[in-house]
Amino acid sequence: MITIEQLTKRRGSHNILNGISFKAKPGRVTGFLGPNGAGKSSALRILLGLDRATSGTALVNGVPYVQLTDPLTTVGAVFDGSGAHRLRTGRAHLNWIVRSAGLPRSRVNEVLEMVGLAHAASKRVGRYSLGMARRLGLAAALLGDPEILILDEPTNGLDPEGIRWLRTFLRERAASGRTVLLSSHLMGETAETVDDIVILNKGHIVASGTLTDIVGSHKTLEDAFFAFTARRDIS
Amino acid sequence: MSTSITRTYGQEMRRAIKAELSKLYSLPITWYTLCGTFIVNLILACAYSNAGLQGLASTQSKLEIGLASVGYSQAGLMILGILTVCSEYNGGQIRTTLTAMPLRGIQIFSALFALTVVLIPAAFVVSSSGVLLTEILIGDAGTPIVWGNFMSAILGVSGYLTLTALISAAIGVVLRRMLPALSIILGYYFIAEPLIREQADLAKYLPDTAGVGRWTPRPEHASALTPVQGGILLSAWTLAAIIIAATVYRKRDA
Repeated sequence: MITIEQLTKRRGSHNILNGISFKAKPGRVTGFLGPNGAGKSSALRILLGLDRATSGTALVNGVPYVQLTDPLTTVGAVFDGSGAHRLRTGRAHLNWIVRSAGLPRSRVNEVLEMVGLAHAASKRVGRYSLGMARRLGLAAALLGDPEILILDEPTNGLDPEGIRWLRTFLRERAASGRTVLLSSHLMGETAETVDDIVILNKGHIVASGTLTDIVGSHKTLEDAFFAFTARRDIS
Repeated sequence: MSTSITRTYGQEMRRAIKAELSKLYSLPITWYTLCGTFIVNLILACAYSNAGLQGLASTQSKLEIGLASVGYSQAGLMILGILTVCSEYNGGQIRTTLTAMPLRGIQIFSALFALTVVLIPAAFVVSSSGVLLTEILIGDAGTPIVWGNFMSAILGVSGYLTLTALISAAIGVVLRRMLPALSIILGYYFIAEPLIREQADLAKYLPDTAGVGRWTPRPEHASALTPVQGGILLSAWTLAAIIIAATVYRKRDA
């Protein structure tokens, strides 16, 4: 369970997040939607302990991320890009992560197979395509077989086949009772994957609820999204 | 709040050190930098030995001639220190690092410890290989090397090289980017400090001069520190640099 409460982030005189609150529940895929620059990545970075909140809390199973005793078996995080040094091989990248968490070495090959990267494991990350880099990021997140997955724009750079694979994969994770939180600015793709939706615009949450609630009387999620984000612009 | 499990910091640190060592070994630049430093040092030692043979060096001591090259090749280990910590900011690896090891104090300490594990043998090999090459090249022409002096000089120089590289790494942690960190460190050690050293009396307390005192007590500077004083002072500089770097690192947004 992810619980974000009254989260505020200020940089200089600019408010990036204005007291946002939402939950991502086990057994559900929660879509965190918003245009570029809405503050999605900032919220996820605070949730993962990378940035500090100005005020408010972002908790994983009731505690801040940095207090988790086994972070990698609790949360898997996928950022944009690979999250790996470009001169290291994919396998070497996963190897050091496995050591940091005291996980069995066999997990490296397992996750490489799982994301379809086994053939490129000994290539340097700098030679990976965008899609391969994303797969490596996902492989790293899956090393600890975590109960919670947090993904920042996961479909960026994936080919149609990869997107479809990821969608099925995330649905299965949620079906097995785990928590999935993903940020995206792609409505069509998100609508097919998520159960719950939180829409963020300019650091404010403008709508949240189940997919059905949010779409409501609109034809598509995209229509609903523009209706919600436009309303905020006018007011 | 809910988790009342006592953390096993010792185990977390052991894992973090293993992870950081694995990072260092698997980065090709680590090996390029170490090999480059070793080779450049030998070339310089060769040049100094030739100067010694032709009577151009200010000393006939093979030990001093053999260690002279370290004054330049130390740059290699400074670069290694900076490269190691700044490599976190390549490809967004820092996010992976801090999500895997969210206790930043433990993580940065482990990274610097792993670096030290690589630096100590590297510094030992670099400094002693220069002296050995000088011994081979100069042979009977120079002042013979006394074993005891050799060992204490090599230990002193290795310590100096290791601590100086750690100071460089600490500056790299604060600045995050390689080029600014490199310009500051190399600019300080090779341009600013040699100028200050000649001018100000207090300069003997600066990290470089304090460190140089570790292996060559300078009789021409009556006020120079003894090797032991220099060693203590350089260790204090290193500790201060690491504490400042760790404090900045723990507090800022990654």
